[in-house]
Amino acid sequence: MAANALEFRTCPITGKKVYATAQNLIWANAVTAVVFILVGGLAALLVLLTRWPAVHLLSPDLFYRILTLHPIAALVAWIIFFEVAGLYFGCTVLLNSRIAAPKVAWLAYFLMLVGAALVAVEILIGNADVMFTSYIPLQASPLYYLGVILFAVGALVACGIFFGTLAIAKAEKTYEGSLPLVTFGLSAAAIIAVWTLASGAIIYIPTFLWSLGVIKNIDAAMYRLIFWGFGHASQQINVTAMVSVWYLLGVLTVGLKPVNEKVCRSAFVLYIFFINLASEHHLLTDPTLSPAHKIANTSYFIYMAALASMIHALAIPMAVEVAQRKKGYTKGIFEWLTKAPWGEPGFPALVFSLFIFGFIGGITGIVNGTEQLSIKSHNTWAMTGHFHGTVVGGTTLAFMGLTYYLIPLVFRREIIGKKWATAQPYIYGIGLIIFTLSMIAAGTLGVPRRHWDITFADSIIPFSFDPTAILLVTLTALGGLTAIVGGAIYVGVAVLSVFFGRKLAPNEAKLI
Amino acid sequence: MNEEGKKISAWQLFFDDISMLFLIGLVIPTILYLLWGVMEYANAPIASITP
Repeated sequence: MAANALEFRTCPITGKKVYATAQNLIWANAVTAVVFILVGGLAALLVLLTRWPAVHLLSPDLFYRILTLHPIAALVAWIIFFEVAGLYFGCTVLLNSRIAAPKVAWLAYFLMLVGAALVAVEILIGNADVMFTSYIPLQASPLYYLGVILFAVGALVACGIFFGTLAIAKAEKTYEGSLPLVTFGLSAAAIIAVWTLASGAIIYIPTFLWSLGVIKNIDAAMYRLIFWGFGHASQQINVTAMVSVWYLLGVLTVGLKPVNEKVCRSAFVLYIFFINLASEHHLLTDPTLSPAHKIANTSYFIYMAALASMIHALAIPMAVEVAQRKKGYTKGIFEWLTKAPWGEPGFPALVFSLFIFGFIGGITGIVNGTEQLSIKSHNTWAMTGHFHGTVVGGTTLAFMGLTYYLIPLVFRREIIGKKWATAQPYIYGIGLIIFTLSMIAAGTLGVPRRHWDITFADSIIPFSFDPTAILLVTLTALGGLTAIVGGAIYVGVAVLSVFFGRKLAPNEAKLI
Repeated sequence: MNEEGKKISAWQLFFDDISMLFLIGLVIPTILYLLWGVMEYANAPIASITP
């Protein structure tokens, strides 16, 4: 933390400068992210074992408390801390640049840390049983809202540091020509993040004042509109950062070079302009908003962002194929694929992430995002399956894959348990495929989301689901448990390697 | 033109202008999602309890 702002080492692999201040900030944000995925993963286990009727572990009070904690830790804290680490990596290491205002960057880190810890503690002691959405009129303690605001302000400052570093790198000519594609993608993520966090500030500051009694009333519909400008758009930061990580994993594993970089950049621009309009999906069953507002946002403009995802989904496998064929893997149609580096963690992480995001999370998002189908799937497990396909199977798995390269490249430690690291994306990916598909199928049979007891044991009017739905719930639990094992392996390998891995010599060019 | 005298395409100049992308990226969702939505809620008639 006390490193000289201009102290740097030269990376033996890339030949680029790695400044000590940036390295420390990347380390702090990435390690904190791993701590929060551990918390989020434990919460996931408890939620899963309660929703599985055969186990039904927690009491209702505790279930909803842990169900509030799970997304805060796993969806917000883990992912945004890791994204900040990724932003700093993208603007310093990839651009050969020092970081702008390192002291302010540390302030941003501590604001995020205090905010996330405050929110987690308030939930655990029972002061915020309001679920992730904290819909009005549910009210949490003022400290809960204050924690969210501190976290959001910290993340916003981190975005400012990123843009400041881009300006420094340009002024000091640390790179030539245009921004590298990965940094350009991360810039898109940071732009999306600014709008998202600003929406969060617009709604959470008055809600904080409402919890203090300063403001008497907040319109529930207005809250939902602006909240989803924050709640859903934060997932769009994840999507954009994840796609940038896909390109980076492609470079690290097969030496990927996009066939047409302008097309890839155009797709990122479409994200910047249109992806945040997907927030409207949450309001499709709201009777107050006009069809014009709903259809314009979800059935016209958002397809520009869907087009961008399809461009990336074609561009990345195509670039992998070209890179592999250039290495001489040209026999038949698929030798480039069969001879791909399946035995190192980054490649299966890339493939599973791309497959789960594209074929499960992304496609169901488009389907559920149409007004007619949203009415059927709204508040069912089909939605939960959709977003676990995007943020867990897509974003989290990609970030996990990248971690195995950041540890030797930036933290200069050798990975402990390489075989475990290689097996991890397979276990996590296969578990998530079973988990998300079963969850979506159960949702189409009407299994509700966020429900403590789908057997309705205490209900005055008895109700039972079709046995197929119960079978699908059981499959969801088994898939989820498999993924949790994969998550535990990730945390174990990452923590052991970062703290106890052999220190690499300054000139040791070892990646994995 | 870049430093080597090569012509830079208009598309590339557009991609390289992060400030402009930033501005457009904030304006589009603010108008289409937030402001339009706030206007619709603000203009919704308030339900009356009495018939």
